[in-house]
Parts: sequence; C-alpha cells; structure tokens
Amino acid sequence: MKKLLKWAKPFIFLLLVICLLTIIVPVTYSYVPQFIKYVFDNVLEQKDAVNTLPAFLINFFNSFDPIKCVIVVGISLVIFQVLRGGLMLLNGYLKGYYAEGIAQNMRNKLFRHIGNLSFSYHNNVDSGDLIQRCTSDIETIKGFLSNQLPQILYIFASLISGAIQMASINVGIMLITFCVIPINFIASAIYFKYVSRKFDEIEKVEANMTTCIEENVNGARVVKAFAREKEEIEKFDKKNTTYKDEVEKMNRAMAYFWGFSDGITILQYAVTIGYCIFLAEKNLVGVGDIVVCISYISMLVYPIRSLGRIIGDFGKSIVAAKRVDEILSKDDEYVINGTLKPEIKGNISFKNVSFKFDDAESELLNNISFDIKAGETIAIVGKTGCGKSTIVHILERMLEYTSGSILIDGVELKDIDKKWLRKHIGIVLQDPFLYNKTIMENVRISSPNKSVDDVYRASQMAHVHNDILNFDKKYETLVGEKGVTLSGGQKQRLAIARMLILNKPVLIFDDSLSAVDTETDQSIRNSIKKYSKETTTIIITHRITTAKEADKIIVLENGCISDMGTHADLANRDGLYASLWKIQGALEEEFLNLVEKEVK
Amino acid sequence: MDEELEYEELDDKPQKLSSSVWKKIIKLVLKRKRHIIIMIISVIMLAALDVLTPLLNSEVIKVFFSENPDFSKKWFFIGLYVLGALLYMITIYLFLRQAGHVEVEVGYEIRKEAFEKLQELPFSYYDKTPSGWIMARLTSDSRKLSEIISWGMVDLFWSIFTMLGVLVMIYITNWRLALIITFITPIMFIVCVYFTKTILIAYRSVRKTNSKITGSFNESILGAKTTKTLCLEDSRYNEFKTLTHTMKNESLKAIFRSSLFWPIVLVMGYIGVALTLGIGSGGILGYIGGIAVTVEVLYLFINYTTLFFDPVMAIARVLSDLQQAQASAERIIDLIETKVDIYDTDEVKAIYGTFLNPKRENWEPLEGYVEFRNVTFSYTQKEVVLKNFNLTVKKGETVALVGTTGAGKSTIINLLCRFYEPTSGEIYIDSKNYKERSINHLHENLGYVLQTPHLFNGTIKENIAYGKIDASMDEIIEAAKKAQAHEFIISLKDGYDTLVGEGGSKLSLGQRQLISFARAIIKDPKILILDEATSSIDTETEKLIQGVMNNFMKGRTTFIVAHRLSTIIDADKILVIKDGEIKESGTHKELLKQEGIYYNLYKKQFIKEQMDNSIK
Repeated sequence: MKKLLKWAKPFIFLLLVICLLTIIVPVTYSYVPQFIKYVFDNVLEQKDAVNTLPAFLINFFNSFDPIKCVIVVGISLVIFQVLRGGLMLLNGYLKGYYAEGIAQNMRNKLFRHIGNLSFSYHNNVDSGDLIQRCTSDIETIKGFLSNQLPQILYIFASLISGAIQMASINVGIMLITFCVIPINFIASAIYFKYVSRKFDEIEKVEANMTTCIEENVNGARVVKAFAREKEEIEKFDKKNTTYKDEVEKMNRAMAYFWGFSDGITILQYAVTIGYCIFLAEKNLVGVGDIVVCISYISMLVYPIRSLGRIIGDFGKSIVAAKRVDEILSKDDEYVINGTLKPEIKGNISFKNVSFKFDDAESELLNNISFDIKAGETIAIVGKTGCGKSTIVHILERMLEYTSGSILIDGVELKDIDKKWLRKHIGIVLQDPFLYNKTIMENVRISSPNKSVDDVYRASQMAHVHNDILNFDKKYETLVGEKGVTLSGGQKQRLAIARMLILNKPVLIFDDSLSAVDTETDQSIRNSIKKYSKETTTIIITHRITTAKEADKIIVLENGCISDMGTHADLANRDGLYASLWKIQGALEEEFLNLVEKEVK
Repeated sequence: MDEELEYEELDDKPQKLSSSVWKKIIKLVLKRKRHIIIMIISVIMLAALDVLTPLLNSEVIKVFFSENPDFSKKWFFIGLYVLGALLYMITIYLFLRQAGHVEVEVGYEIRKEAFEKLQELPFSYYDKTPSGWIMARLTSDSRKLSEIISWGMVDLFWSIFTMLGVLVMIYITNWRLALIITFITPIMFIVCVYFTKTILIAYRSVRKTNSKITGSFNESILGAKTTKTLCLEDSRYNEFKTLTHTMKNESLKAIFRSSLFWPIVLVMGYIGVALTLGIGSGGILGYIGGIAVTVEVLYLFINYTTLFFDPVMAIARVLSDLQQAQASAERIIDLIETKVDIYDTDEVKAIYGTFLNPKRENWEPLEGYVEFRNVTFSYTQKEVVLKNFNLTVKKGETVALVGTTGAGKSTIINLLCRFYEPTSGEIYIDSKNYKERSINHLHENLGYVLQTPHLFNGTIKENIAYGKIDASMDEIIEAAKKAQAHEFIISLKDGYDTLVGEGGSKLSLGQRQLISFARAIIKDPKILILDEATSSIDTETEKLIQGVMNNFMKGRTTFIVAHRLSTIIDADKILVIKDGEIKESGTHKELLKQEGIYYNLYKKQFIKEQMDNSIK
C-alpha cells in the first residue's frame, strides 16, 4: 500500500485538486436537471416546488416574466454546462499531467537504477521479467493512481450528493434507490472477481494457441518434411476451439451480469417511478421531482457497477508496486565507490588477490599475484572457466575482490572512483553489445565530439573499416535490434574500434578477437602497438599464437596462477602452456602429416 | 521489442474503406449467419426499448402528473415498467451473448482459414515471410477484425436504429421541435468524426514513443555490462530522460484532445436541450404560435436530445475503427488468397490424394535413387544460385555437401525436399520426375534432421511419434533406443511423458538433437537429410550423435550438409559446392590429393577443431 501510494506523493497537491474536481463534476451534474425542473415546476406548472439550485439563482430567475425566464434559464443551463465542461477538461488534463508525471518519474528512476545495478545483478537477471516490470507494471500503477484512486472518491461523492439531493425531494425515494445499490455492488464484485480469474485462464489458453502457431510457423521445415500438415491443422483446431470455448464462457458470464445488472437498474427506475405515482396520488411530488429522480439514479448506478472492478485493480496494483520496489531496493553499485582520481599510466600490481561470489562456496580466484609495467603487453591463457575473465572484471571493479590488494600506479584499486577507473581502463567484452544506432554513432558513443576522421582511423585500426564501406549505407548503417545483422567478428571489431577511439592507457581484450581469423587478429594487435607504445594491453585468449607475442604470459588453472613468464620460458617448461603450444603451434604440421598418411 | 508488436505497429493508418475487401470478409463470416441475425435483431430490440422508454415516461407524466391525473391506470403502468425491465434484461443478455459469440466464432474462423492456408503454402513462403508478420495476422489482426465485426456491428446497428427510432418518434410527436435535433445532429457528427480522428493520431504517436521507451529499457538491460565498461550510464540516462519527456508531452497532447471531446459534445447537446426547452416552453406558454407542446412532450424531447449523443459518438467511433481494421482485413485476405506456387497437378492428386485426404494405398514405396538433371535454380530473377546442376546418387549412398555459407548447399536440400522446385531441369527419384508424385508422398519418405532441432510443445512421446502418427509405445521406445535417447529419457522424472517446453526449451540442445533423431528414425525413411550443427555441443553428446548418425545412415540414401570432419571423411561422395556449382567431387582421399578447395576447407576446419579441443 505504502509502496503504491509513495509514487503519488510528489504530486499530492495535484491529486487533491483532481479529487476536488472529480467530486465537483458529478456534484454539479446534479444541478443540471434542476434547471429543467425549475422550468417545469415554476414556469410551466406555476407552483413553488422545492429546488436545490442556489437561492440567488432562483431569485434571479423569478425576477423575469415567464418567457424571458425560460430563455434566461436555457442560457444559464448552457453556460453552466460550459463551465462544467471547462472543469471536466481541466480535470482530464490535470489527471493526465499527474498520471504522466508519475509514469515519467517511475521510468526515469527505474532506468537510472537499472543502469547502476551491479555487474553480478545483470549477470543473473531474467531480462523478460525485468522488462515487464519496467513497462506493464508501471502502466498498472499509473492507471490505478490516476484513474481508480480518484474514481473511488467520485463514487463516494456521488453517493453522498445523490443521497442528499434525493432526500431533499423525498426520503422514501432515496431509500428505495439505496436499497438497490448494494445489490448492484455485490453483483459487480462477484462478476469482476470471476472475470479477472477467467482472464488469466484465457490468457494461458491463448498463449497456448499462440505457441502452437509459432511452433508451426518456425518449424515449417519440420512440418513439411514430416508431411504433418493435416495433423497440425487438427492440433491447431483443438487449441483454437479451446480458446473459443473459454472466451465463450466469459461472454456468458458477461451477458448474465450485464443483463442482470441492467435489468435491476431498470427495475429500480420502475420502482421509483411507481412510488412517485403513489406519491403523486397523495399530491406529495410534482413532475419535476420524478424527472430529477430518474437522472439521479443513472448518476449513481454506473459508478457503483465499476466499484467491483476497482477492488480487483487495487490488488493488482499493489502487486505491481511491490515488483517495482523489488528492483529499486537492490543496491546501486556506486554505493561502494572510491573517491580518488589518480593519474593512470598503466602500472598494475596484484598481490594475493582472491575472489569469491557471495553465494558461492569456494574461491573463484585464489592468491593471484603479478605485476604489469606501463606499456607492457600481458596475455592470460587457460582453459574455459578457469577465472580469466574474472581477473579483468575485478580490474574494472565490476566485481570487488574479497581479499588481497591491487595497486594501479601505486594507488589501491578500492580507493579509485569506479567511473574514473573505467574511463582509463578500457575493456572489450567477450560478447559486446552494440546500441540501436548508426555505426558512426556507435563508434563514437563515448565521445560524440570525436571527428569523423577519428572514427575512420579507429575503424581502420580495428580492421572493420572495409566491412563498413561494404554496407549500403556505410557508416550510417543502423545496427542493433532493428538494423542490420552483423557477424560475430564484425561486432567484435566494431567494439574494438569503439574503445580505440578513446586513447585509454590500459586496454583489455576479453577473448574479444575470438571470432576473427588469426591473420586479422595479428594485424589488429600490430596496429594498436604501432599507434601507441605506452599502452598497457591485457589480452585474454585461446590462441597461443596470440599469447606468444606478449611480454608476459600468465597461465591460469582453476583460479590459481600456475605459471608465468615469456613464451620462451613457458614453452620449455612442462605444463599447460607447453602442452597447448605443442598442440596449437604444430597444427599446420600435424595437418600435413595427416594428409600424407591419408592420401597414401 | 516483441516481434509481433512490431508488425502490429506497421500499421494501421486509417485507410479508405474498400468494399471488395470487406465483401470477402463478410463472405468469411456468413458461415455464422444465424448468430449474426439474432445479434442484429436483439440490437434492434434494444434500440427500440431505448426509444420507447422515454415515451413511457412521458406517458406517465401525462397521465399522472397533469392537471387531471387519472390514477386508475397506475397498476397498468407499473406493469408496463416491470415488463420493460424484463424485456431489457432479456435483450441485453441476448445481444451480449450473440455479439460475444459472433466475436469468438469469427476469430476462430479467420484463424482456422489462415492456419489451413499456411499448411498448404510451400516452404518458400516461410522463407520469404518473417514469422512475426505471419503471427501478427493470426493474433492481433484476427482479434481486431472479429471485434469490429461483432461489437462494431452492435454499435453501428444500435446507433442507426436508435437514431432512426428517435427521429421517427419526434417527427410524429412534433415536427417543428424535431427540427432542432435534426439540425444539431450533423454538426455533432462532424465534430465527433474530427475528434475521433485527431485523438487516434495523437495516440498513435504516443504508442510509437512508448515502444521506443520499451526498446530503451531493453537495451539498458541487455547492454548493461557494455554500458558500464564505457561509462555511458549518464549519457544513456540523459537520452532516456529526453524520451520520457517527449512521451509525457505527447501523452498530454492526446489527453488534452480526448478531454476536450466529451465537454464539447456535452455542451452542443445541451444547446439542443436549452433550445428545446426554450422553444417548447414558449409553445406551452403560448408565446410561440403553431407549436402545440405539452409538458410531457417537452420532457420527451429533452430526453431524446440527450439520447442522441451516444449514437452519434458511437457511429463516429465505428467508422474510425473500420478504417483502422481495413489494414488488418486486407492483410488477412492477402494471406488467405496467397497463390500456392508449388502444388500437385490434378492428375497427381487423382492418384495420390491431397494433403488433407491422402490416398496412401496408392503410394508406392521408394528405393532412394536420386538424380538431378540440368537443374538450374534462382530465388529471385537476378541471381542464379544453381547452374546446370547434375548429380546422380545411388540407393544407400551418402553424399556430403561441403562449402562456405551461401554456396548453394541448402538450395540443393531445399530442391530435393521440394520446398522449392527447379527453375529449369528435373529431379528424378527412382527414375520418375518427382513432380509426378505428390509432395506429401515424397515427404512421407523423407527423414530430415535439422541443424537446430525443432521440437513441439508437448511430451517427449508425442515428439517422437511426430514421425509416425500411429506409432505404438514399443515403436517409440525402439526408436529412442536406436537414437541413444532412451537412457536419458527414462532418467527423467516423467520419462516419456516429460513435457519438453516451448520449442523443446526444457531439454538441453544435445537432448533435443537426440529426440529429433528418434523422430526421424521411427519414420524409417528411404531418403535422409542431415543438416549438421555448426554450433558446438559438448564432446560427449557429439560422439553420441556421431554414432547414432552412422547407424542410421546405413541402407538409406543420405545427404549431409557437413561441417564436422568425421562425418565428411566417411561419406561415399563429397561434393564441394561453390557459387552454385560442383567444383570438386570424389572421396575424401581423392579430394585431398587434388590440394584444391577441399584441401583448404579441410585444413581450416581441422585447425579449428583441434584448437577448440585443446582448451576444453
């Protein structure tokens, strides 16, 4: 409840105005029939019947002779409706302003927060569910706070004002009317509860049917190759029929409810009018009264019938608010941050660094120690899942090391501001993400003021320039969801260009050349070296030919450094590196041997 | 963003109503004639009741509230009211029931027709048409159409008949007073049409912005890590803020328009009420000659004036809905009327039957001789994919197709499966042009194992039995055993009754692959097509699959789109396809000797496989 209402808090004043207007609009509607009643009673029948219009207005009308009076009343009625129309417009607009304001706040807040949530959160998140929370849950909350909340007030206001006005005519009529209201309310509460349950069922059945179509369309090859068209039609017909039957059930309930509810309402008209006839017989009511009463009934009945639905929506909104709150209650990664912004040259030193995920039992990295001097190139090799990526994620402070110490140019990593760090230590992830923008925008996304020439230069260094020129729209090609589909290698190279444009002192390649061939891999690395000799480069790779050229190679096994050194050192020592080198370095030769053998 | 949503968005600019499309749609719905008639009748009844109720009220006023009330008739009138209430109850129940019924039946019918058509369409249709597009036709479009045909019709008929009824009543009662309503209505109608349209336009741009917001959220979630590494959180957030700001402004524009709509209609209506009141009272009071009005007539008129708002607004709304639904209707008709370009000739149908009524008794068993004779094929007119392709494959031979992506390997498979037909040249199976047999007959003799196995939502048992509909449990188990799938299946809690999930998502890729083998094995096909997986599955499953494949291929004519070295080596014949031609052909050894394309392809693959294995 609190979680739901807190979103309305910044707009509390606006909400009050809206509530006021929501009450005023129907209340003033109750005066509309009074104008007509006045003409009927006072002008046409010439008697002095009770009228709830303010006294000054009655006196004002009374001051005219009959025909002029009718004209004045007519004009007043129109003016009155214009004023009411103005209020309605104002109410609608303010309500929109309030609703959209809430939605805007929620969206901005969620977007900001999701962006700031930690790396591990994003590693484990169910993106479909998260999207739903950001879209449909926001809509639910917005809808409730802007429509249902004022609606509740409206219902109570119209009940009270209707009761008072009717009582002023005749208490009996009011009582009869208010007898029927609970019946309608109960019926609607039952109905809407049923409907919302049924809706869920129907949604499931519909999803089932949609899945059937989807599988048929996507599996068209299988369906055709197995000659199962006929069976598919039968299967679909079953689902189609089930769906039809389910909806049909709901339709039946709908027809029963509205038939019943409308019938009751009309019966109520009948009872009220009948009662009025009895009263008229005793000369207790006039024509005007009966006209007014009928208008009131319709004013009361419609909101009452929606009350059942509001109750249902209320439950849903609370759930939605909880789901949204769940995201916001997760910690922002910048809660833990450093303050220092030292100059970063690229000297990195790991001392006994260990790391373990919060929910894991054992350490993923164990006592890692090594030194990198500025300008050096380091390669990290090891088998899949040995913790190579974790090392560089820690270096980027995507993950926080559990023990040990890491110094960047002599400053403890934990004391350095995360964003400052990431601005100076660039990384190309294993599976880089490209934004739904043009290639040009993507390459210079971190620094939009870079010139077109800078973009070209970076793309050339990343060996993706020629690929881009082959696209129809060249650098203006849209990538991402709605754009062209790039190959894995093209994506990687674009991501590399995106990083190279920035001149960072430290560059990390997290297996990010895996999808390009060995020669391209080599020439990309060469052009980086040529461009800047001071750059510290960390390369995670599976290719020994790539690792071979590094100043220092770190061999990682099961979260520990098993060996370290230059290629010459490692290739001559027994161990993982040597065995990898043996296999990978001699592949060409092995192949030739194989061919020799096979052909003979 | 959801693909389906995207195709919905494509969308529905109001279009001029075209009668030919709607005629076809009406033809489609006329199968539900009876319900539509009951629906229309009950709607007309409702309109009549709506028109008659004020009349009854005014009679009551006349009889009981005039100068000389006659209270003797009070039970008669009370009776009338009760009767009215009952009639309302019945009518409302009836029209809701029937309209709901028409809605579901029409939706059902459209989906059924479309789905049946989809089964008839050749595979090439699916190749050309994005699945999201097809999905949107069977979901959102069929929904939109069935809604408009049921509820739209209800609104339309109710409005027209209510208006007609009211007009008749007021002209009978007092034609001079009736002129007021008559004048106001067209103006009101124009206003309604105008507003409905501008509101629609405003909301369309709101929807577009909204889908951009969803897209942004999607990007922020999927690209979160990249955003962090590039420190783009702030700039992404600022971009997003601009977007939500636009969203707010656009929404407010739309809200303003729709908030203005009702007050304007209301005021216009009340101008009518005031005029009626003024002129009517003038008549009663004797100021305006020639209008003989009484109090109850005036009451009636005021009531009728307010009764007029709703139908006018409803008609404007239905018109705009119809214009919007036009696009849906066209697309559905488009789908249902798509020309089938690969079909069996009437002579073939006469012998082999249609896909709905196959004459299996006439289906001769196949041996598995395959021959391509001078086959040329092009998907579009510009580009020839296959040129004068000739190939003879003996019964039981294994042919491996090797080559880079786009070389034409899958085209050969597509032609063999008759998913496409040669542009020129012929394909013979057992020395008979395959067009002289039915498509279904060919497919019945085909085993097809796809690169990415596609399973259907249902149990494992059902999925295996997909290959042979009347398969017994023993046959299913037998097939699963041959596919090496039996063991993992019985290790699952529900065994053969385990649900595989959407597209098989509850099983691992390897498990899915094994089941798709079992599905092909149970069919015992003479011709086998294996589209080998490029994506790496774990070594163990790979070995398992390899074993299954080798066993399965024995005695069957097999075509493999091959990637793995082990499969290639064992083939009876290797074809190196490049630019739609056979560049090299022969056994593994022969090709290696040539040191040509095959030699290089093999080398690349060898190095890649060895490298991958080394770090596993």
